[in-house]
Amino acid sequence: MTAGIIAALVGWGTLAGLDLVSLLQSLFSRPLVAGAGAGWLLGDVEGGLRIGMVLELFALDVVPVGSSRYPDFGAATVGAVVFGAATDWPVSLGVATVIGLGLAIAAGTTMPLTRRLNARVVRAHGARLAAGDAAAVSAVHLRCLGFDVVRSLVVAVAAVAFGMAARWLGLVPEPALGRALTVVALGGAAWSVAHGAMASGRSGARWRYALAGLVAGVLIAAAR
Amino acid sequence: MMGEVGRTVLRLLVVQASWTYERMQGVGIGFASLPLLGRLSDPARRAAAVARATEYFNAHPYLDGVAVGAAAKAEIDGVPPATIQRLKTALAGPLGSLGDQLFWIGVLPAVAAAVIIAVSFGAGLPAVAVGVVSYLGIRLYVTIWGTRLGLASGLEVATALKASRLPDQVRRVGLLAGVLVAVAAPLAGRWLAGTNPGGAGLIAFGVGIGFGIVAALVRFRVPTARQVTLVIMAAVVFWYWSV
Repeated sequence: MTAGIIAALVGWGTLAGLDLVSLLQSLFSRPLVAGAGAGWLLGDVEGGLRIGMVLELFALDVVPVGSSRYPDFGAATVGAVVFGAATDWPVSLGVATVIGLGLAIAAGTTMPLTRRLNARVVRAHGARLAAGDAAAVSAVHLRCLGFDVVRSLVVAVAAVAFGMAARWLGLVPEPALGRALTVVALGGAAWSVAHGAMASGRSGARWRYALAGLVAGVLIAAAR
Repeated sequence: MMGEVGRTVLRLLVVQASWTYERMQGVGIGFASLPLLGRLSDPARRAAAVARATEYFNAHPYLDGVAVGAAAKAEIDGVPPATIQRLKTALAGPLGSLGDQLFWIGVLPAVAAAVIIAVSFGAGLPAVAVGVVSYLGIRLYVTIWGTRLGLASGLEVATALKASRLPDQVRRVGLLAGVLVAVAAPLAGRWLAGTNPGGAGLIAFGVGIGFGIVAALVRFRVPTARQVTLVIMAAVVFWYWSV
């Protein structure tokens, strides 16, 4: 892995981290997108898509409402793909999922820290904000944006470094254990996405539509 | 040259950067409002309007433009400050609820599921790119539309929002998301577990889906699937190494 690719992975992970709350809030922070991009950078798009898809199924059970705490899957997925790209995926997918979930949960804990830093800056400029000082409003907002740039960069560097270290340490397990972990990861991902699909509409039309969709999905999958 | 609305929309794309537990989106809303409030020529009125804009506010980020535009129009029209405060208070809850239902529980999972389905059919990276561009387009369109709606309606923004087709889409988009996620789940399982020997991956996927449905039915939420998965994996590793 060249320095250029490492820098690109860190940049991609930073963008994914910023997208979670501060910038755009679109799909760059989604595991499937972050994983596909990381896989492309590493020359293994399919590996990135597989790891990204498993983590995406977990992420579909998360509703990112403002004050709630939720995992940060973006850079975490990049770290998982750094570990799992170009490996025997039925063996490594489970460990990659562990790395992705662990990093996502850890990265999620950095958001409240950033918000506390934001609060400190807002409080320090409270008088100027109350006086309607436009320059102060811009300065406070941009400084807070800077905090999240730093947070996302640190998380991305940590995720990529963790993925590289796990790969270097040879954490790809023996085939039997690796396959068992992959099976557990798939079961957990299925639980998560099914819960996410059903929990937001426990009764009425959404249930019926979702159940009909599930039957259709099973039939299509069986026919393939 | 980019107009006031354009600059406001660009700032709305980073509206949550200064989110705090005290003011929530307040400072971000103030930052986004600055180009529109520049229309106020009286420095004292402008400063008072900027101060009000930075106070406590929270709604869905995609729909913040509705509140920013409406409050700016009210400020420009010389509406009393107390009325503007009431307008923002009245808008926060509905805009938050509408946005959460429409985007976080509707459009986002629907687009993600559509990409999953396409990838499971072998569409690969282009499917991801199309999903990203489509979602980005929706996000930008809604932000521009909301800012213009608020700016054109002012105090009448609630009526204008109700008259728009946006609230009507909540149910449809929610049903679409439910169907697409449900269709995507087995296809993802087939694609991910298809080559797992003995079909163990597929069986685990099926059991997981069944457990997820039951968990949703009985509202079993804590601990989540993430924690349970990590605990089971740790147990598998421990068991493997101990035998």
